[in-house]
Amino acid sequence: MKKILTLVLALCLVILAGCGGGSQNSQPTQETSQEETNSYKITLIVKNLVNPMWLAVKEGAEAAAKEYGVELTVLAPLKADNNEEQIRQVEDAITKQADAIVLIPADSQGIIPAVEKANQAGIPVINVNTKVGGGVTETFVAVENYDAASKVAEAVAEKLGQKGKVIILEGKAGAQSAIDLKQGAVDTFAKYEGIEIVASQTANWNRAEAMQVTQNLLQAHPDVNAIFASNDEMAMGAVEAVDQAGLTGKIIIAGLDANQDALEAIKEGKMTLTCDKRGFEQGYVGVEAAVKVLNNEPVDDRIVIDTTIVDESNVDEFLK
Amino acid sequence: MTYAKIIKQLKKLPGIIYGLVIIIAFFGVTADYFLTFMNMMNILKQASVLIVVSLGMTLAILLGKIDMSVGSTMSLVGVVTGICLHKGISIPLAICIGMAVGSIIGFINGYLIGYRKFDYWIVTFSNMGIAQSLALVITNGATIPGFDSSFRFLGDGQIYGVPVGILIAMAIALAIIYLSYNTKFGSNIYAVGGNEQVARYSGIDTSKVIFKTYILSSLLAGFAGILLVSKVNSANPIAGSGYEFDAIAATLIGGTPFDGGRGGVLGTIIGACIIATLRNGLNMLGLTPPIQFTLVGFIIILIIIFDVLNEKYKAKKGGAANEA
Repeated sequence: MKKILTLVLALCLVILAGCGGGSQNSQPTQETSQEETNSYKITLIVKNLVNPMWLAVKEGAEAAAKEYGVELTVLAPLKADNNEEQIRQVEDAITKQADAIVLIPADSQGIIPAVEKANQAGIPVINVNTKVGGGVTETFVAVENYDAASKVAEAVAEKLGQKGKVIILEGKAGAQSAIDLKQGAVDTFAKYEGIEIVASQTANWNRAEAMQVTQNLLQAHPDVNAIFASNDEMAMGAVEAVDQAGLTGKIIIAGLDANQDALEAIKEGKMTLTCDKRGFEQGYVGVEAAVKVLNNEPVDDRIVIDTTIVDESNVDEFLK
Repeated sequence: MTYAKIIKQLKKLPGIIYGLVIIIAFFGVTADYFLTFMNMMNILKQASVLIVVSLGMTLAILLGKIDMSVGSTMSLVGVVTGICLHKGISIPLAICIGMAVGSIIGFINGYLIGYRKFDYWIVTFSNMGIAQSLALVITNGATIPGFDSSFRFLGDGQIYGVPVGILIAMAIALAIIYLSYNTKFGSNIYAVGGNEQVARYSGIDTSKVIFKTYILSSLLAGFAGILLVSKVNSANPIAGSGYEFDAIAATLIGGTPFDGGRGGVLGTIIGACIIATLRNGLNMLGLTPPIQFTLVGFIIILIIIFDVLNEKYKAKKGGAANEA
């Protein structure tokens, strides 16, 4: 029995040694300023680390952390967009006595208990990108989704020569960002008499689903002139479907987010335009706002991040 | 006698308990604020939902089978209960309706596997999909937010600083420990898992044992789903997805292997605590999450290595290696 016990202990130590090694390897995620002895500890929680948008937010936040000498911890759910894990991570940040939490909730309603707990613990919460449905947050740093969609729809209308048939690919049903994006597009297209929305369907922010939906809609409406997708992932799905139908270049495809592969598609002429929602900026300003709150400096309730339309004329500036 | 049984069971789990102790010691040294009362309560609270669902999974695995439908049963029961609560139905009744819906999944699993001898993978996989899609259909894919504070008390309340969710999970765990170690039904589960044919020849109604176990598993999963809804104050139609794998991991780490008839729920509870502790500790260290999967997988492999070595050691000693 003793032998086995020793073996188990040895094996466990091996795991833990591996674990310790892991913690050293991941040091880059913890930007620590050596000079400032009592630097602020800020925890950033994003929806996942597989979507380029949130990676950009993370990079922006890390840049700001370096700039202001903040000790930044970045967390994301293991299962992408999992609300329960985000709650856990907020709880862990509270226990760890973080000075501030910068939060992008995967579920606006589901995250409320966690925000309330942070409020009780007196830890300021900076809300970025997606609105928290309740509790107290210091500020909301985000683009105006409605305005961004209007801007994109405006650009599409211009490229269409103010007339034509349009398909809208919506985000996940019920999500506030999806509702705002759709409304911005619908209201803008309604301003043009020559433009008709022939179909508006959800593809759940998902590329594969958008490809399928677009294929079906192209069957039903072969004379479509433009596709408005509420994010670049869905736009890329539409690009694929249009490509397979042999219609590349004949249909205008617009998305939002300015993801790298969408930018490349614009460069190649497969996609028409996208909208840079400046994830880097969102992360940067989020951490900056947290520092301001901690320094007792005034912060606006709402910080709007500007957006830029990217098409073939300026795509090179955005391609990495 | 019963006390001796529990002691005997405890003696079978030294590796796992020491594993937990070592992990706690490691994080206690490396992560600030890890060894605080608040954080220990945090870990137990985070483990409570997993403990409840893992108990059912362990019973199914003790049978030498598996229940892949527990995760989506959690989601389904959660949203059904959530919808009932929003319709103004009282809390106990809403919970009963939710559990009843969940038990239908267990009923189908148990009937087809126990009495019709269908393959347990196929049946529980199919029900995993069916329960998941039902949850999505009745909610239209949307989250049901916001419940009464009295309902939230279940998963989020505190009594003298101890989260209620932990107390509930502990009560359920004690009941299942008693059931599996001290009742005829419990020993029948072990007998069926050890060798189904022998069990049948020795006069055990194996079909009935399997049927009851699957219903119990779905009831436990359903209750875990309700605890989860109460904890996060919203019912999400995919909230439980992935829990089946965590439950399997907790069972395996706890020393109950897939071949059935060996191990037990005590180990599973420790296994669930190990998973929760690892996740909490890694968050406290500020590690990015992807490494967590690797570590949980790594530990399962180590436990299995230990399990095999242990069996060999016992066989070499000439003792009765097969105590199931």
